[in-house]
Formats: sequence, C-alpha cells, structure tokens
Amino acid sequence: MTKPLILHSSVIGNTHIRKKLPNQDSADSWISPKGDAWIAVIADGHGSSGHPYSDIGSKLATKITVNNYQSFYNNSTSTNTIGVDLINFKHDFFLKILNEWRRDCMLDYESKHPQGTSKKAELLSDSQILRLYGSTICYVYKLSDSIIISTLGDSSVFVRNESGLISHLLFNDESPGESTNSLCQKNPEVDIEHQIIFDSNNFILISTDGIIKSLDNTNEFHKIADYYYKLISSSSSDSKIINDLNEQLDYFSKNGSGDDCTALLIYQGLSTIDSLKTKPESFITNPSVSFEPTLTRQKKTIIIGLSLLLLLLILTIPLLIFQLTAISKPRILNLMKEMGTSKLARKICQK
Amino acid sequence: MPVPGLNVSKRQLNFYYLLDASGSMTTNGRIQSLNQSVRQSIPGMLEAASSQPNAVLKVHALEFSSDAKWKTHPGVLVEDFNWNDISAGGATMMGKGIDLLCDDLETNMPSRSLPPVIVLVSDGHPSDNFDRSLSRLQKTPWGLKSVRIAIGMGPESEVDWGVMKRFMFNMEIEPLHAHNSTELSNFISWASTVAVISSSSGATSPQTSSTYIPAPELMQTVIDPGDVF
Repeated sequence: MTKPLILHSSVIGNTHIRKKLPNQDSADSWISPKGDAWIAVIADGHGSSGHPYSDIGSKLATKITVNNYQSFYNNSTSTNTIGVDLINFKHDFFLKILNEWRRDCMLDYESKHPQGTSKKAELLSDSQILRLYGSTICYVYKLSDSIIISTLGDSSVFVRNESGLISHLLFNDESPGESTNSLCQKNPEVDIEHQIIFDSNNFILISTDGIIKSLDNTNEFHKIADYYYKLISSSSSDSKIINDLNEQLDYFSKNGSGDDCTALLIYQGLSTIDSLKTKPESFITNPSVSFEPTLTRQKKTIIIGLSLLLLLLILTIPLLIFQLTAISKPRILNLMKEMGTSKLARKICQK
Repeated sequence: MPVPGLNVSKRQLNFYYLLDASGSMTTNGRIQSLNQSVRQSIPGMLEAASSQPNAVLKVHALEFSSDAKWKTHPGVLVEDFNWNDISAGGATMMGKGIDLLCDDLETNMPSRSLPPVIVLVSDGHPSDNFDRSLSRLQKTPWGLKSVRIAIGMGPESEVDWGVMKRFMFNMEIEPLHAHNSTELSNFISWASTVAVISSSSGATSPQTSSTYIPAPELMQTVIDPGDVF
C-alpha cells in the first residue's frame, strides 16, 4: 500500500502586497499513517473590505475540516467501512464543519472584542460577525472506495484520469464578477456542490480563483494540470515540485489576477489500494455525473435485474393465460358439466 | 517561468461613459462642462490604472439624445483615450443608450473580466422606455455585477432622481448631484478613479452582496463654483 502524494502551495497576491493585506487563502492536508485515508482542503477568504478577518476565516475552515476528518478516521475501524452512506456522510460532514467554523469565528471575534470594550462591536449580529470571516472552501477526501470532492464558492477542481483526460468538475459558480458562495452566507448547505468519483489513479488539482482569473479561458488550466501531472509522475522530488509550484503561483500573482493564489495537487498514481479496474469514462465528458460506491452499484444492479424479470413476467403472464384459456375453455366446461356444475361453469365462461 | 505554452493575462476592466447629449444639455453650458469634465478625468484614470497593475483598463463612451451611438467603441486602453467633444440636441433616449450598452456587455466582455464600471450623466427625464432597458441591464450577468454611478446635473427639479436611483440598483451609495461645473468635474473624476480602483481590486464577496463604493468626500466649492447649471 502506497500513500498518495499531496502537495500544496499558497502565495500572497500582488494586490494584497500593495495594500499590506495578509494572504487570505489557506491550504491544509492530512494522510493517515497507513495511507488508507486522506483529506486535502483549500479556502479563500473574501478580499473586499467588508471581510477584515477573512484570513482567519479561511485558516479556521481548513483546520476544522482536517480535524473533523481525522476524528472520523480515528473513530472508525477503517475508512473502507462498507456501511458508510456517502450521500448522508458528505452532507453531515459539511454541516459539522460549518457549525464548528461558525462557533470558532464567534469565539475569535469575542477574543478580539471582549465585552465592554466596544459598543459598536457588541451591536453586531451573529451573521454580521460571520461575514467578517467570510471564506470559500473546497475539500477532497477518501471515503470507502470513493473520493468525495466538495466545494462552496469559486474554487477550481480538475481531475486527470489514467487515460490522460482532464475534466473540470464543480464549476457552477463560475459566474462573471467577484461574488461567490461563502461559508458566511445564509444556508450554505444549499449551495455546496459535491462530486463523487472512484478512487483510482487520479491526479487532482484544486485551486483558489486567483489562478483561473489569470487565464484567458478554462482550457488553459488543462495545461497546468498536464504540466504538474508529468512533473509528479516523472518522480521529481517533493521539494522540486513545491519550488516549481511556488514560482508558478508567484507568476500568476504578479502577471495575472493579482489575487492570492493557492494550488493543491493530489497524485494517486502510486496508490494501488482499492483501485477499481473498470471505470466508466462518462464522467470525463459529463462532469455532473456522480459515481456511487461499489456496494450501492451492486445493489442497483440486483434491483435492475429483478425489475427486468418482473417486467418480463408481467408481459408474459397475460399471454400465457390467454393461450391457456383459449385451449382449455371447452375442456374446463366439459369437466365442470361432468361434475354437475354446468350453470356455474357457463357463468364463469360468460364472464 | 510560466507553464510552457500557458497564456497568463491581466484582467480587463471596462469603463463605460453613458452621456446625455439631449437638447436640454445646451442650457447654461452643461454640455461644455460635461465635455470638459470627461477630458479632465483622463489623468486621474491613468493614475488609477497605474495603481492597479493587475488590471487592464479600457474606456468606452456612448452618447444618447434622439438616438444612441458609440463615441468610443470598441473600448480603448486608457493610455490611448482622447476625448472629442460631443454636441447636444434632441430627445433623451436613455433607454436606447442602455440597450446599446447591454449589446456590448452581452457580447464583447471577456469571461475573466473585472466588474465593469458604468457612469451615467444626465440632466433630465428619459423620453423612451427606460425601465424596459434597465430590466435588460439587470438581467445581463455583467450588468448585474457592474459598478454603476449616476450623476444628475442641473436643478433638483429637472433631474429624474427616480430613474437615477433605479439605475444604481444594488449599489450602496445614492446618485450624485452636480449643481455646477466644478462639482460635475469632481464627481466624474471621483467616479473614474474610486470606482475603477474598487472594481479592479478583484476582491471577492459573498453572493447577494452589493458593490461597496465609498461615497465621495468632495471639497466645498467656496470660491469658484464654475458654471451653475
């Protein structure tokens, strides 16, 4: 069993350097000692002046996400637990992250503005306080024999499969302009998007919007994904890849969007555990397709099989009855006459 | 060195002037003041653009009277922007002006642009169906995300403030009122710098947030208010 490789880098945006603002992006990751479980997360704190603590908001988001996954792993015998319901898990997992993020933001705010020090600070409602910490979030983790990608906001997610095909997943929030979904908004659980893919030899690249806003179009991102896939798969050292990534992000920041830039690379090419040998290619062309875990798939196959059998029976039974009645009606009548039930037999036949 | 073959580019910021050139603009030298103010705004815009090295500022201008037509189109780099005076006459087809703007926003905006800045200057009431055109602007993705500043010039009673306010939908500040040429010049200079800087910051905010532009703090015109409209 070989561990996946997870590397990430984050550089402060050119605009933020000039404004003397901190890097509002954050990234974190964790791999279990056995390599059978892992999570990677990035968050992008909002840059506008209404979100002065968004750098803290994004750091809290990444830290809480990793901690929660670790807790789940430690409390489970293994992440390959077949009974895990992915649909409910990804929803519950996000709600857990959200609730803790809200709690920790409130605690941070209280520590910054102790009671009695500022009336203005005390007048803010909870939702107004959370806005000060506004951040997007995007995380990828292994669960059972699947990989779950969840994103709230305008992060980019690219997956390169074994065949070299690159798909851009979860891009519903690519509307023009600078507004995005956020942890600080009302009911973010409605807007978070999830994608489930098979745990296979994927190369996954996730990034904050600073990179994609530096490019003319989405296809340009494929070049970045291809470039790093080749770099990683050519057994370059981790430090060499990280140095290269730092240089690239710095280039985007200076010559592109000027925004903070964060990229996270996940390479599973070395992993041999639980890889499914057959994988439908449809997700390459249709990013909205979700992949269920093997267990659910098997159940589905059985259900479909039984349904087809039932349909066949429904279709054939009337034919059989018709055939039988056509052949045996006179016979039945004769038999019933013999038994002295001719009246009843006639009635039945009339009916 | 970037990834080989990768096209990295700065983001485009499109600035639009929507200028009233109707007959009423001939009153009290309004059209001359407008021409002068736009011309005077150029150095400030250049400065604002140079303070935002990660944005490429392009300026567009259109005028509306009995019809609407482009004065500067397609947009030119602010470094290349010159102003040739417009003359006034005819009705106030503001709706047509907005429709012409929508055509551009719907077809010519690069997908990775910064929110466009639109500055409307008018002294009167629209002669056409302004609200129909405004509704189109609100439905256009870039129109919805744009930073809009409306400047009314002339006496309070002559400007259609309802129209000006509706034009600035989802903005946190109110339309500006220029009583004289100095104020007009200040407001246009302010709009073409602060709004540009604000839009080009590229700072994200949650959905449904209005675009925050700090209200102008302009000096009192005690000595020379210039032409009073």
